[in-house]
Amino acid sequence: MARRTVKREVGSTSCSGRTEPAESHAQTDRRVLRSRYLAVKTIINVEREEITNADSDKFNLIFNEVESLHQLVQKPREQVADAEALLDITNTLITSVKAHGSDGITPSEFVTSILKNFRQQSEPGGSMEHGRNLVCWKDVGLAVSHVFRRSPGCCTMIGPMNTELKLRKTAVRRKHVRPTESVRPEEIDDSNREEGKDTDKNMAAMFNILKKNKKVVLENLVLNRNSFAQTVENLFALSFLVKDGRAEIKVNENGCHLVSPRNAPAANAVVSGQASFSHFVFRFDFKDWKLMMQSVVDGEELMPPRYQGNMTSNSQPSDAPSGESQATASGPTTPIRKLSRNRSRPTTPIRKLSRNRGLVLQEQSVVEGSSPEGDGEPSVVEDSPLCDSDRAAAIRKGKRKMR
Amino acid sequence: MANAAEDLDLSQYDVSKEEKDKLAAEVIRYVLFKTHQNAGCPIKREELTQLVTKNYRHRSLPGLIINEATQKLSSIFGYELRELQRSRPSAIQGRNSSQQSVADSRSYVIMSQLSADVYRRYVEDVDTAHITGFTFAVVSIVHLAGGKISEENLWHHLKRMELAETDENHPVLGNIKQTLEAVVLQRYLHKNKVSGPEGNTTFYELAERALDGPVSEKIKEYISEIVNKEVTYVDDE
Repeated sequence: MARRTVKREVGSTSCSGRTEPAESHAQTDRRVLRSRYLAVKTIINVEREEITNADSDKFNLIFNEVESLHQLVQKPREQVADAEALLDITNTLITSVKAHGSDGITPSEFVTSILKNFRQQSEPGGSMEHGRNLVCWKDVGLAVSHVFRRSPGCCTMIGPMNTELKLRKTAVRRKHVRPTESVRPEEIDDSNREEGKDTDKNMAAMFNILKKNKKVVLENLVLNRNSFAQTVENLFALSFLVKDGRAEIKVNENGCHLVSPRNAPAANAVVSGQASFSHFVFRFDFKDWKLMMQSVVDGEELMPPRYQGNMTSNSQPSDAPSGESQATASGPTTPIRKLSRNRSRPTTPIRKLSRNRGLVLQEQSVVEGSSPEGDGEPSVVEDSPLCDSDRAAAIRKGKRKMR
Repeated sequence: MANAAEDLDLSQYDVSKEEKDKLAAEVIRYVLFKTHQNAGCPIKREELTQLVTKNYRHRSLPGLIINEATQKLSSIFGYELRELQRSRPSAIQGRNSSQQSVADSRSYVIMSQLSADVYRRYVEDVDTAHITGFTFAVVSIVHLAGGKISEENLWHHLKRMELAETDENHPVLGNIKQTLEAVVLQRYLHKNKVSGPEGNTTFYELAERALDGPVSEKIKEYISEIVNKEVTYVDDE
């Protein structure tokens, strides 16, 4: 818009022969004019308070300055500067007129009043810096509280206002796998079967010996001079043979127990009741074994000794140490191993010889008709005359040396 | 008769009295808690209407509920739920744009209805009085400047009171710039950027809360009181 009103300088652009010094002089003049306009605008901005002051002559001075500069305006750039200066001074006047609605109080006057009325009291020690205008804002607030009438509202302790009820997450359950598969734990070494096999072997060996010898002394049959354990095993095997009816034990006139083979009773005899069981306890402990070793001549043992692993058979019998719970004689090379009742050596099923699996003999004198042969011979039921319950218990606990 | 008229109103909106009371209670609860949460900033009308329109579709029902809440806040709490209107309409254009824009620009604040001396004695919070004082000073300066003042000019006056724009550790007001910003958020002032030939200039203008009738009158009244008060000087030395 400013451009349209500008009159072109005659010959300003068409004539190429115009002297350069004159052109530069004109530019300098315009530059000076613009800088003067800028100075006026700065004064208007800085001294706006004084301009609007009715008592001040500042407005007249500035306005006259602007008017004089306006006469020198030729070009659009200066016209823009002239228009801006006029705009600034007009805004200042408008602001002043608006302020006059407040009884003519200016912001500066208001600030001055605030400083006067609410200046922060200095401390008696004079710690407040010299010349500082500190306002006691608390006093100002208390004085004007009725202006705003703030309401504090209510503090809630139940969390954010937009809290929504959280939906419970649907529980994802693991698929329950029914235990349809049967679990078969791995089988450990079936010592029972082995034991059974061992016992069977012993029984077979013993029966062969009985078949060969026909009649043997019981002590010779069961004793193992070097091993109390194997002696017990032999006795165990004999008990099974007697239970099956394949061996019989008789007592001769000298009081010796003689063992001889025989045929097992027929099935119908068992069914009919002609052949039946009767139990007795054959007590045999370490002392008895010692005595047995004395009564049996060395070399007359019939059952072969049984060996396993690196166990040697060189263990020598020792004279019975008093109260020692050693099943076999000790030797320098024999490893000593503590055994509990629950741990058995793999080859010696002594722990199997419990009360429930004791020696079973057919008592012919006690039960009428119970003997399959019916010969009426007295049964061999004896307890060891040298029973020592404490020592026996200690021995049976398994504290013994292994060969 | 009043009950009959009330029942008629409710029948228009298809809500029972209990429902109306419940909605009004929710609005009251929201206003009270939000005021505390926002440190007194105005609550937009749409926030209150949402409480109603969440479950009810009647267009005029929010207005009824807000009116009901206004009455209850006054009678029960002694609070005036004052409606403020933004001076600048919303820029959203659409059907019923003028009406909608007016509705969108409405906000609410609660003000105590107690008399000045009772309020000063029993309600005014001494711990936040300094903020009130600063707000009053700034609003007064802008008011006396004709309702609009440049940022530069405003800081010029504040500097006289030892409040610099760069001061972040004022012993009472803390960060002065942030404190001034809080006055803007409270809708006492409106910050406006005007692009001019020399670049952007920021102006502060009085906003709806300072332009509100009772508040504006009291500001003018107290400015006169302060300026015209006789001052007794106390020698510091």
